[in-house]
Amino acid sequence: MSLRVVLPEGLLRQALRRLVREPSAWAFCPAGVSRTEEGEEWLVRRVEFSASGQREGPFVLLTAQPALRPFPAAEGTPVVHCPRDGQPSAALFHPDGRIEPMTLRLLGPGLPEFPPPPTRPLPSAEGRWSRTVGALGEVAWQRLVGLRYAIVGCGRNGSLMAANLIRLGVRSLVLVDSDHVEEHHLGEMEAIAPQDIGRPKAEALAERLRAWEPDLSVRPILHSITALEALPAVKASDVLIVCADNDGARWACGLLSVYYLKPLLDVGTGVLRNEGRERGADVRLILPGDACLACLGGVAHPEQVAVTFRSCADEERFQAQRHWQQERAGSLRSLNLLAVSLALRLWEEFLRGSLRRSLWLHLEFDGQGLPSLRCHEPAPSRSCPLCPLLGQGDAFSTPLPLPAESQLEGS
Amino acid sequence: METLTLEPQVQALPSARDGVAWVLTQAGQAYLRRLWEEAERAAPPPARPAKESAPAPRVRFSLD
Repeated sequence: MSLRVVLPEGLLRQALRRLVREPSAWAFCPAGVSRTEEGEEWLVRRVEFSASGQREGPFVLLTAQPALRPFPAAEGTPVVHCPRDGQPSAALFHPDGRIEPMTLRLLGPGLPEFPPPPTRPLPSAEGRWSRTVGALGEVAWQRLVGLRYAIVGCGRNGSLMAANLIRLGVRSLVLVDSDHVEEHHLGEMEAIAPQDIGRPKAEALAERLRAWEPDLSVRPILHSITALEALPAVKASDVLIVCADNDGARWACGLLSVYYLKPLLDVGTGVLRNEGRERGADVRLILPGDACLACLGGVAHPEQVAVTFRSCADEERFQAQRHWQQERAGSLRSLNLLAVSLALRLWEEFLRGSLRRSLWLHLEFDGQGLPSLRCHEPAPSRSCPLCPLLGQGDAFSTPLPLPAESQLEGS
Repeated sequence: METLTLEPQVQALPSARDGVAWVLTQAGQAYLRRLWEEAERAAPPPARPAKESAPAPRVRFSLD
């Protein structure tokens, strides 16, 4: 069984600032737990330094010292050791004296993990991916291809994202989509052929991708991301990518990202049905503990979130009533390619360690056909509906939070 | 009760200095050392704009 502690960088910084002054102090970190078939993840939610008092719920202990005084714990307690100079490590200490090794994942630039996960053989100088490794560096490429990705929404952006991840060397994908292939998808979607019409998008795409790369592990989930059937596969993934065409699914991914401390890549495009035929894309890299979907751009259509989260029947009715011509003038594969490429560039720079924070890119073409690209950083709000749920893990409860009232009213 | 030690976990980490795992470990360790150095300099956390009064910008494009 695998055991892991996931620690957001901002919380680690907070702990280190105190440990610099008091090297022998312990940080008690209230944590959520995520249980999967493979094992358990302990998700650090906050950092506290009070050494006294009764503690409720699971917690992770963080220290800079290699040795600990005994501490009472009814169940196993994860201990994270972050020395000033040396190897960080994590272990699960049981009351009976047993110590189980854990991995430690830091939710920051490069997504470092200790001990490092298994690596792939590096390509030779003329081998496949040698140029990608040359451009990104060996460390970033190993991290990029070693992670497991869940893609939510397998239409234009989702199919391009899946295909491009595979081209980079990624070998583990989960594809989540309850929709079916229709003839009007064939013009812009990647990998899909006329004989796929009528089949579930995720299933057809998975089959085509397997034919490209036989050693690919790809699992289609033929349900909405809001269905419980999708949850285990998302929890077992390392990165969540949302390419959905509705904000109910987008908000659900924002929630899961916060609950389970999953980095979130969001890709949205549009050729809108208004006078100027507005064309553009919004692409976000969101790192839990640094930002959330609500703090970094929110959602364009909060009313879709309200409908989706009201009930399964309402979500199905909403999806069944939609017609693409009511929502957009059309779709442009060139725009999809741009948006997906921007998202991948953000992810590559994050894994290289160059990009250190969450970021939102807004791409828009003006009336003269000229593009502009704006960068936005997180704007945290004290009334954020998602940030307080950081790292809640399996302990989440209903009702699920909706976008702020002001957004709902303003839509 | 005896003092617990974390040493066994540290020893379990990769030691082969010429492998890719070693390179990854070094990169991660360098990252952690940088965080320590920033904490020692008492570097403030990255500035975050937090003006409640100004309406936060919202995304515009959410289709595929």
